[in-house]
Amino acid sequence: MARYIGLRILQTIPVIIGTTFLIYALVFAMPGDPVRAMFGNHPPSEAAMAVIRHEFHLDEPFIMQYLHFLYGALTFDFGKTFQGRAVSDVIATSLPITAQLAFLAIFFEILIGVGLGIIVGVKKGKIFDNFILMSTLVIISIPTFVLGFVCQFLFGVKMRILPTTVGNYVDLYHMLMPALILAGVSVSYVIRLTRSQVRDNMNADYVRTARAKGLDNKTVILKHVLRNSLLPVITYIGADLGALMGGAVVTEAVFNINGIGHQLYSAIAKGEGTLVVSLVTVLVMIYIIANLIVDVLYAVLDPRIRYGKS
Amino acid sequence: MASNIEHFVADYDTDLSQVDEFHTEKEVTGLFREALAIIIKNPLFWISSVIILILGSMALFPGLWTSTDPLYCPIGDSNLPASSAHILGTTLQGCDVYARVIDGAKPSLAIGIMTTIIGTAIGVLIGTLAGFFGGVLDSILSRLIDIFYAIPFILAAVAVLQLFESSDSIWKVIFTLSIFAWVGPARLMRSAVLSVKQQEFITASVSLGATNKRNMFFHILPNAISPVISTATINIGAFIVAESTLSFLGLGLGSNTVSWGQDIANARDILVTTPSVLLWPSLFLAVTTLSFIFLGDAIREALDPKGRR
Repeated sequence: MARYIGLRILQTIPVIIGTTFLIYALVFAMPGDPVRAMFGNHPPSEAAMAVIRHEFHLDEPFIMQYLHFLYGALTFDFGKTFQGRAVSDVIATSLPITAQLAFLAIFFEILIGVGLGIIVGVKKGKIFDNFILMSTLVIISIPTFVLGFVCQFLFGVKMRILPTTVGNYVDLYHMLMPALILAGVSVSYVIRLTRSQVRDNMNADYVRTARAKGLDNKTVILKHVLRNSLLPVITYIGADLGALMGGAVVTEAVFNINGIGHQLYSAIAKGEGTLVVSLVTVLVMIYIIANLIVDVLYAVLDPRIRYGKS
Repeated sequence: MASNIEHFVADYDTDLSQVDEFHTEKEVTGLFREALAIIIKNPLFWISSVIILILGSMALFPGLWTSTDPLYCPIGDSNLPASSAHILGTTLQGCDVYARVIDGAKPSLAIGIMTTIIGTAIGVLIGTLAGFFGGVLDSILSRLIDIFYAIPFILAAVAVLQLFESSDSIWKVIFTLSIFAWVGPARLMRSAVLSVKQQEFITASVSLGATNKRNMFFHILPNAISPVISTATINIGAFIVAESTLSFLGLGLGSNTVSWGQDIANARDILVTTPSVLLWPSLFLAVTTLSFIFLGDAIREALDPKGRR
């Protein structure tokens, strides 16, 4: 087990280096001079700009800039933004907001996704089943921002029961609609996954055995079917955390949320290399750690899987 | 099973060199012909195909559907309700909503289909190589797949699109999406190749002296590709949504190209007064995506031997 976890952590190192290198190269290749862009129509003297370039290592070759960044990242020193704000400070203010949004979305995935998935999987009714399956496909095929606009219009403007924008009010009441919208597509996948897992297991031999033993329906479903059905669902939801944090940029734009996606989007638009790479690094780390935990949990929960042997 | 076995029985005096070729081709056409027989009985296949054909005719021959110029936007006609001249009304800028919705089919379909073709081709090649050869090559390619998987897709696409000068060309969007589109098919293909590689007919073909190239492309690939085909069809819809998301963020196509995503983003400003301007491009987008999902689902059902019984 320890060997497997060690191997799994070793495997993530090339992924972290590869992703940061790729993003760094992308940002480096962007057209325009970021130092000039800082000053708009009234650029300072060449000498002043040279000082700024030197301070941000912008006068050095690409590979040196990347190594500077990597060295800083290892010591949790991500440098400063062009406005002089510490990058770690930007992360510290924006990450919790996005994390709150993502965890609330995960909560909806479990509540609505797993809940409805189990109900649809256990019930035999054809009409209800088809209705839920169709609804999930419709939600998957509508872009997140359209869903956002429609909900803003319906619940915010027409019914006036939920606020349409978050801004500085980061609390449960204001985050409710954005989190639901962010979770929308994932909830649909979770419903479908849970349903098919439950369906498959309902017909399994061990369920027939359990029924033959005389167990009542409730015990069979809760103790036997669900235990075996929910493993892949847990894997999906766990791995989805990273995807939700990265995918939050659209939801954050629609609902005016000052999270990490919003910061990243504006950093890309401004061509602020260090900030972009730092924020992506944080997102990638979250994604990798979430996946790592899920993989290890999987090995713990499922005795059939013998990791590290093949 | 009985019907499958007879494919493997050759005539007594068949030349051995032909045995290999003869049987696999029988088997492959058999699989796809069987799938065809199943799929034409599926009503969802027909519904989605008809919708996609209609959308295709809008993309290729917009003149069949409208003679109004979607870029002719007299500001005096701003925000008109539906009438005989503008059957779906006009936008804030005074453009005809119906003409814009018809014209938006072309870039959406082109981007969805081209991205899927390019991404799937690259992904199938990389996945097959990684799964077939294993070892160091597999380790390197698998890490590469991991790297691309870990990068947040939309944000990376935003970064790549910054590299291009703003233009109305759909190719920059296709190129950007393709950089990330190969990852899914590559993963799927790799695991499918790994499982097909261990089957007996491959061992048989190896023992008959078939070369690696022959095994890979004539025996393993056709038998491993079905999950990729159905997923690719569904992905066309996913890329159409991705393009609209990039357009919504202001980075997709330029303002001289009509795009559903852009029109939806613009409709936000007048959502409260004229919700119908949001409705039409959204509806077209959703129906298009849904059709590709249904088509992919029908293909998956037909190709999946487990689903048949």
